[in-house]
Amino acid sequence: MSRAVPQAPSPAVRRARAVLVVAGAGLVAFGGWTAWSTVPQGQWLSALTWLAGGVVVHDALLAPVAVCLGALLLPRVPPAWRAPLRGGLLAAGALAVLAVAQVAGAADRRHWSVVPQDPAVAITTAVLVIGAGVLLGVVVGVRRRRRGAAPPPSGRPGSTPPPR
Amino acid sequence: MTSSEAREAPGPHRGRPHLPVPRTDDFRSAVHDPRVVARVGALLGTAVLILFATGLVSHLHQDPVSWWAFGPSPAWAYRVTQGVHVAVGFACVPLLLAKLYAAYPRLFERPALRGWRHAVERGSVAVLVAATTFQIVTGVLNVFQVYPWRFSFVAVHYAAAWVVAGSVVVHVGVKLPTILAALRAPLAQMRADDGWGRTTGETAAPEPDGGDDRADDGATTRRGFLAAVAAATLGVVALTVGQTARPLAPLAVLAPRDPRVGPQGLPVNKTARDAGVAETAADPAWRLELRGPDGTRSLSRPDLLAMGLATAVVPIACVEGWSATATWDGVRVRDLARLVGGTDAEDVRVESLQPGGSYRESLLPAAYVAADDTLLALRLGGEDLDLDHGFPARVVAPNRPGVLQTKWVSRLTVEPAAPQGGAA
Ligand code: HEM
Repeated sequence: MSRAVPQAPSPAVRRARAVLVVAGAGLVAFGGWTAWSTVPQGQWLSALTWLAGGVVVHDALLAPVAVCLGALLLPRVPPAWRAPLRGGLLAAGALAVLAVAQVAGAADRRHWSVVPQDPAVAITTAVLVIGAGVLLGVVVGVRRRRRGAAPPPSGRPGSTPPPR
Repeated sequence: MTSSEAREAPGPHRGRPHLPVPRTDDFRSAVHDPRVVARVGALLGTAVLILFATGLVSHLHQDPVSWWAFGPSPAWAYRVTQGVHVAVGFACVPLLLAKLYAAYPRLFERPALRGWRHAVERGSVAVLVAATTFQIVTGVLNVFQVYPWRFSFVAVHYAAAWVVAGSVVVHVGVKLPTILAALRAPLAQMRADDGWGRTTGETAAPEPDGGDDRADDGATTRRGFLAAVAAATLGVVALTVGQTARPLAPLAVLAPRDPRVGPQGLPVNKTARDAGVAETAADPAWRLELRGPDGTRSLSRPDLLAMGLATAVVPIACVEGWSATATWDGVRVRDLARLVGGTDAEDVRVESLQPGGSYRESLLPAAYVAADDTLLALRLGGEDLDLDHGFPARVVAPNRPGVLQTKWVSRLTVEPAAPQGGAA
């Protein structure tokens, strides 16, 4: 189905594909039937809105922001910083999801043992952890590059920015 | 996203008046590569498998079937399966973001649809992405007790679980040749054909010795990204898993719960006030009613205390993924059942003072009733139960979801054992 598959799939792969697609479709159908028969109709609109909402928010908002941020920021930093920074952005994205949940959870507690920590302190701590992780990644990356660049006499110094 | 993305910036849309819709080819970063997508996908797929299996365990505890029964041992089993469920659920947040980010260029494939097979294939990806994103986002909000929707979380989460698991299986089937090729290909290898039908700057001029600068950059970028995904995923787990793994509790800044924090050092989910029992539970006129084949009996709290208390160390393991071990003193449920003619071969129905709600009652299958550690607990950590922990009396049994450890118990009824698991 993908255009540029390197080789034509072997018979075993073809059979495995058929089994997986049919079995998977069966599981999806069971899920659909379960939703149909157990979720009251009055709840469908809300569930479908959330189902579609996540994709829309991701595809139209989060992903473009991530791509633009990467395209604008990463070329401006030394190569050794790129992978750690990309990882830091990924971790920050995950933190954003958890932070929204934590702040919302702390705003409306049913009991004081729900989100007992101060979200501001907790989220700041997590941001610092991400920062420390990025720095650690840079140190590791620079070391790797030094080691990799050392043997060839004409080796390029790893940490200079690429030619523009 | 990489240097190359910007270096080769002048895309085909330069000079267009409005925001251009990009094409798959416009994404030049070496991260957007089937080798990366397949590796992140393998992690996410494994995570979904674990979530599906552990989720079904939780479902079968609460909706027993005749052909599968859980018992009281090992005591820690549910705590582990549900703790894993929520820990892996948290880990899915960075994994999903990484997977969607790496595969994002495929959204802009042209032509958008090439015949019905392709339409079905893209439709299946749409279902996969929508259901998985939904499941992870609503799951995370739910464990923080944030419910900004108008549906029953459990019913929808259960149905969606089958859709997520099934669409992952379909997806693996559809992409199998690409996945196999991508997982076999070393990250550093250059290929003119990247499996996405693109010919990128990096891969256009393969050099057999691999000494090409750009290829080297590409391999470094891919390796770096995968390392970053691993670090972010482990990081999220490290900062949350302490809600169930007590030694890590000091690290759990991002978790919804701290297993050490609550009245009597134990977190509370439903409070007496929310349950509508604040007055009835504190009333000294409270009596425990026992019903069984030999009739009915009524016991006050002093009566129960006078029966001689057994001690059990049993965890409260919440469906929301936190858990905490506690020491309980109470009367064995089987001893209470015997007072009204029950035997170890019968189930016991537990009813609460709660006027309503889905967890007003629970059924203790015979195997649990027979266990030494299944108590009608009166004391916690050597003190009388806190009102929010179920004073005057609550059930604690090993290997049970917290929602079935009924609080503010008002009545125990001996019932003939339901087939095996004891369907309610
Ligand atoms: C993405 C794939 C996932 C699958 C396939 C899945 C599957 C399931 C299943 C089958 C159940 C049992 C539902 C029932 O009792 O009927 C369950 C329960 C649960 N899941 Fe998930 N789950 C997923 C993700 C998550 C995530 C990301 C979280 C949160 C971090 C989460 C939190 C929960 C909770 C709190 C319950 C207990 C609900 C209750 O009984 O009140 N799940 N899951």
